[in-house]
Amino acid sequence: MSSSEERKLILKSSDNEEFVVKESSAVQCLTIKNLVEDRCVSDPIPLANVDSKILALVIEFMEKHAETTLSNSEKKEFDVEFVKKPFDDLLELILAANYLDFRELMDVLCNTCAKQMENWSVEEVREKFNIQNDYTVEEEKAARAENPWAFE
Amino acid sequence: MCSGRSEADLISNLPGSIIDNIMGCLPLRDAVRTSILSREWRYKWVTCPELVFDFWFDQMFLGNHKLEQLVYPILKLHRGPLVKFALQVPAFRSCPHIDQWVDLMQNNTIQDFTLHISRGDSHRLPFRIFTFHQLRKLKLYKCVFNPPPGFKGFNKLLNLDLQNVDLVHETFASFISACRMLERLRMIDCTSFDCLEIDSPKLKFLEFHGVFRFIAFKNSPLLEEVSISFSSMEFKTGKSFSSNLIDSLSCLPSLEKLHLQAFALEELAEDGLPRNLPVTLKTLKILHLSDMYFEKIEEISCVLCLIRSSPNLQKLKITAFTFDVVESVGEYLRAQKSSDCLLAQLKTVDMLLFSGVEPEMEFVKYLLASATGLEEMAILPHSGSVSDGGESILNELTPPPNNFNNHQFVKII
Repeated sequence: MSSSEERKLILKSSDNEEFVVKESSAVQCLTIKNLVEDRCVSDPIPLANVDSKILALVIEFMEKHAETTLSNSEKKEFDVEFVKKPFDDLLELILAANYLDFRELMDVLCNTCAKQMENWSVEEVREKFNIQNDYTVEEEKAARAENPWAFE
Repeated sequence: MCSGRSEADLISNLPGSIIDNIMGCLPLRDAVRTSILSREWRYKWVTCPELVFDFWFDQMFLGNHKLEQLVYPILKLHRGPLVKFALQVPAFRSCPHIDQWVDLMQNNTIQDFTLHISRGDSHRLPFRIFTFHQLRKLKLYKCVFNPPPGFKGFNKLLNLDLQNVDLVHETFASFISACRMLERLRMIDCTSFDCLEIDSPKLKFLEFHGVFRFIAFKNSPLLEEVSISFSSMEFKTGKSFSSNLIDSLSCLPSLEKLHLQAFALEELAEDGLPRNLPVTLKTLKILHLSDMYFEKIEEISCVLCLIRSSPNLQKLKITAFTFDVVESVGEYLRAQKSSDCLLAQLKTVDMLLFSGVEPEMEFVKYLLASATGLEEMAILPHSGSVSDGGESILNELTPPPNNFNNHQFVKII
């Protein structure tokens, strides 16, 4: 086992909680990988945009996906269970994955988000995301008329 | 309608790349429906890098709208790089509109292109497709594929999937050779080939279903998985067909997984029943033989010959296709010496569509006696021929408990 596999990093959440992770898992986050490669790693690495609750979840995902002994289908099974979380948590995880540039996590979360959206009506989507409908009645009609096939 | 909610909008202000990512996971219809969520959302869908027209665009869902009328406006509204375009819709026919759509696509961003003609005449691909130099994946169904003269290949293409595609012999080999990064090649029911030449330095996976007389692998050092099945028996134009095929396969230094139809091997028996091949498939680990009739001694003997010539084979999978029971086959198998150390490396055997007739049973018994390292034998009974769920098969193969050669690892799946 080469020494880089044993190297650990300390990540600090926005609410000052510290987490120890293997460098080899953490570099799945390109933001962290860049810090390591540019030798800009401070000890601990402060992650101002991620709180401890979300960071713990990111680390759980990160470590699972870094395990070389797991097959792809085992990882997929883990993903299926991992995304069974309240919608608000999923959105926060998306923001964290974006900030950390963690492509794999981002793809799984966006896919989950999309799958949920498929099942909702337009009104439900607005509700779940708190989207304010600022269309006037005429404007909404015109928008629908642009692609009528999608609304019938 | 405004309820004065104080909670922030959770999604609309996410970075565009996240919205695009989510949008790309939505079916096209749902992506377009987001246009009425709010003013902000009216044209968020047009930057989605993927446009996939799939089964939902079947006429029965579209009502009065015709697919051919929808594609052009959508492509015109689209903004930003289009990375994936796929059109795979039931009952879709070739039409001149297709070339107009291709004209609208930026040729320096498309990486993934699928065109599936379901009915009627094949569509002659417009030359513009050959300017898509960023293509990583190309999937065509019922098209005419003829690269223009001087075409230098898609030098980023990784995955080529062709079904019912008309190919031109003279240009196809050089086309494959020019796509230096190709890793996966699939050719199903395309033009018949006299000699199919594969010169592909990064190719890892080849699947072929159709007709060829010869296949030649020039420079395919990474090819590890090959599946070849023939759509007609006419290819077997006499002697040396099978030995040419095996010779070609034995040139592959990385071949680990092979699928062939059992009858493709029969010509190996032209000069008498072989015991071993003159070549060995040293790297082969997994062998799948399908359409095994168990009706001819030549077939059985050539199959055993191939297994014996694969010294590192770990897994054997046989899909049976037995109709008639031929007594001489069972007799031939019983007469085989079971002290066959050349099968000692075999660990797993799967027998699929197993009817339990005598030749099949004798084959399995031969394997159980010769493959001394065998760890697992799984038998999937053919439900049309086996009515007791495989119990009598299992009883016949598993000797009573006081026999030390107890084949506990035989199981019905």
